[in-house]
Amino acid sequence: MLCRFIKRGIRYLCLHKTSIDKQTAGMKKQHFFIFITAAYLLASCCDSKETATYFLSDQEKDFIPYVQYDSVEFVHSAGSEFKMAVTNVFTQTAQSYTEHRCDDYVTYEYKTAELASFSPELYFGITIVPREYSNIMGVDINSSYFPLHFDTSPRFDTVRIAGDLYFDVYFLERESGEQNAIKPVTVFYNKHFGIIQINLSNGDSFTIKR
Amino acid sequence: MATVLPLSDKPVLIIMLALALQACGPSDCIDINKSDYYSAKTKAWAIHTTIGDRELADDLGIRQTLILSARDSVSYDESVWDDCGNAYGSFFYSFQYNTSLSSLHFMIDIQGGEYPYESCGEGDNCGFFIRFHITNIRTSDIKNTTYDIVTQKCRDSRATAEYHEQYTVGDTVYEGVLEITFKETFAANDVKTLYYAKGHGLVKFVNGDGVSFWVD
Repeated sequence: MLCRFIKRGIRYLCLHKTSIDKQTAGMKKQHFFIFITAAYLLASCCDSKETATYFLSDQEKDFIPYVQYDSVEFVHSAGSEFKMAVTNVFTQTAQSYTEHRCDDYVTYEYKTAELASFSPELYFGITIVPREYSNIMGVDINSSYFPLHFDTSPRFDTVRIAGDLYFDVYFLERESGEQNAIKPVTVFYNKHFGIIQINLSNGDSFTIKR
Repeated sequence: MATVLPLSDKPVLIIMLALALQACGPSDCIDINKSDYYSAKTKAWAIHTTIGDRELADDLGIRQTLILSARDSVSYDESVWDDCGNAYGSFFYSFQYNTSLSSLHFMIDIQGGEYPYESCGEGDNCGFFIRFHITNIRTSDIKNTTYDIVTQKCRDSRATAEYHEQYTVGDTVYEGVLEITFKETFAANDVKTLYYAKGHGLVKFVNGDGVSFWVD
């Protein structure tokens, strides 16, 4: 709509060019500025296009096993037990990030699960996108980011964690953050249980209670 | 033609002139002794430069870091003058904390200057005070209160203050601890009570659920 408005403006200027000509010679400068302005405005008109749409497969959606309004029990290595409430599970579409306004983009579907506990204060956010779009699933724990790379196989075919056996377990490491503060540093994750264990930098851990 | 005031208006005019002249007299002098006394008392609350990040323990056995993320101080030798030939300075300290697991941010401002002529109100930056400002970064809930060092009370009605000559936190006995209790909490993880020790800063807080977190 903006482009149509600009084109009408340019047409108006061209139609009234004659009346502008009849003014003094100084008006020739105006022609130049009108031309430059018109050229700039025309250049800013563009149509970005959606070039692809990616949807999550059922298998990809199932990789986040949480169900809204469920709760998951965890136990801290010091012994205290608490529940993480699954506060939100949703699927939405989004457009890819583009650097310039006229860049083409893709649309992709994503699924997010959010879990929370007040005491202790823990927040999990897990988001998966179609693998055609990105090979990384994001796991966020209290603002520490753990990427799960699908292009690598699960670290463990089987592993025993806190006495229980788990299969096809991914091992996630925190991307960056303060080195000295007590924070989550590694996570064990699989598609059946989701987050299995979170290890803190001081050696403590939060582990699901089966 | 000059206007001549009627005889009956002259006394009123004289009284008005007298009042105006009286208002032009010298203002109250800065009470230097009280200003010095309360300045020293206020500065004692600033956190020592040797104090940095501390480890927090809680009732659940979970440990995290109380990060002293920022500290700032400014002082001016002369910031106010009176008509008695005196000048007095002012000072300001600011400290900020974050918690490494909980989503809490604490900001503590300590300020002082000349002894005020009148009592200072809630939002005033006059007199001698410690202002506590707590933000829950996750929920964006904010609460604050201002403790007046002269009156030894909170300037607002949002919290109450109690001073302890000595207070034990963990295995440490702190000399001079301020206990601030907020009347309202917004959520279970909101701060209900905090304990601030002279020279050491924040040493303990209790959330709405009654869970205590203390420097260990």
